Amino acid sequence: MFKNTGYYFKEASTLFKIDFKTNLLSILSMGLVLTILGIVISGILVGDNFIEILSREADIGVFYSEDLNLVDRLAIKDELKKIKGLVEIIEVDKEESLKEMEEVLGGDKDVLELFDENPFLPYFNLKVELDEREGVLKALEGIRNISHVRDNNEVVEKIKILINNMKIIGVFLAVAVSLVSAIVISHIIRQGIYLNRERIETLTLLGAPPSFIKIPFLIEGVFMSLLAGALSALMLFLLIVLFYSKASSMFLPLPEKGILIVTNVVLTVGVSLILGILGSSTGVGGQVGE
Amino acid sequence: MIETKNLNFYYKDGTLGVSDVNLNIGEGEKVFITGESGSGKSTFLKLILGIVKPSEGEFTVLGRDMNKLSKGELRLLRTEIGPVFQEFRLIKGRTALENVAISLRFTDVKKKDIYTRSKDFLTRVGLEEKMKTLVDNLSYGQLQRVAVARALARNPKLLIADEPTGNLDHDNAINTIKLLTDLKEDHQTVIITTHQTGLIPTDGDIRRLTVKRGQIEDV
Repeated sequence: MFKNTGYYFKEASTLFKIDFKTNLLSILSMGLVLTILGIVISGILVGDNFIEILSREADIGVFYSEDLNLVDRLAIKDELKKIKGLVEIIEVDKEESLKEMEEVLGGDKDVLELFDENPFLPYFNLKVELDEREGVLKALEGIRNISHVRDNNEVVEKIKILINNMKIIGVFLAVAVSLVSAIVISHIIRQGIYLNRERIETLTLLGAPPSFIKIPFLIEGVFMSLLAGALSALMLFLLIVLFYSKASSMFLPLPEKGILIVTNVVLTVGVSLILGILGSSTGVGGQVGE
Repeated sequence: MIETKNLNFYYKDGTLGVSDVNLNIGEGEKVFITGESGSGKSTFLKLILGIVKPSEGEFTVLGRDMNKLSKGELRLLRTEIGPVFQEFRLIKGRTALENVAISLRFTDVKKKDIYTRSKDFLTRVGLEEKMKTLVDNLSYGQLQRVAVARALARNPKLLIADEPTGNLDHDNAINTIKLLTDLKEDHQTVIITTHQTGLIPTDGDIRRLTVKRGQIEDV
């Protein structure tokens, strides 16, 4: 079974060298295509991370009248404590509420000086377990003296829908890019077979089994695809490092750099291997030894 | 070894290939098929190699019915035949040694014997100095010798050579014929087509066939 293993690899290398320039350009184009795939996958990962962080940050604000006395305020707090799914209850007074807004406005906080007095209301900031959110909101409806509830979840849901739509486009792009890679590899193999048609014909007339003729082409295709994968992994690594160095000054909830790099390298090389096998198999299928 | 009964072959456009051939070629025979260009000599060898299938009649090669051969059986049959093609059909970009060795890789020859055997046969055809030369850099005569070495190294039951002297000068042509007839083992059958009747040895054990308008007969 392994009688010709060495020969197959040597032959694959010879086939690669025969059309060296074309093969090199093919690897480069496949590498770029796989890099696009990596960028799309990174986009999906960043989107997921963004949704998770936003969901975590989306607290519920429970507002009450400024005139409410301490007993009634404590009564609200006691009722809140009874609600299932609350992680933390933070009491925010008027001053803290103002400070929060100043932080949100950043450089534009001067606008707040236009007010004669602090326009912000005290409130209870509720940290909620994500799965219990709906139940908490329902329970709040039955508590007396609550003037209104601010639920950031609406914004999060809108962003989620937006990101999920972008993910659908991303998945479509990933499938399209994978198909392009497989077609390119398949085409390269077919081209190789065409260039070597005389050799294939001779081997067929000498009684070579189709597998003997096909295996070097398969190895060549997988090898080229893996090289393209490695090239793409390198490009993605550099892109991620560059992006993270630029993104440090922006407010962007990014996943951990190491995780993103490892995911991309493993995915790109893995995908290139699978596409190499698929593309090469399609390329040689029914082409030789008939 | 080869048996035909009322064998006919027509090309797709209706051109006659071989017509009503009744032959029996036995083990160890040295057969020369002569005839003008286009008479049907090469077509008969194509039929033996299974490149084309008989249109009518019975045809058996090495005990196999050529009318009922599956792809796998045809492949196995071809491993038992040592062909020398008119246009050599050597693999470009490879050395003489690699060309002989590659044809042994899918036969019964053991891995460790492939190169020893290939070198041995290249030496027998007088190419010991050119083993590691790319076939692209060999002369016509040398290419023909590589082709002969490749055919013989496979230890085939049947050796077939289609106009092996067609592109060679007189001396090289005589040498090629000698190689094919002298280097073959007793059990091996050799069939050589040529239009140069002067090249056919006059030994007593040579069988001569002639082809006229597709009909093959003993001379």
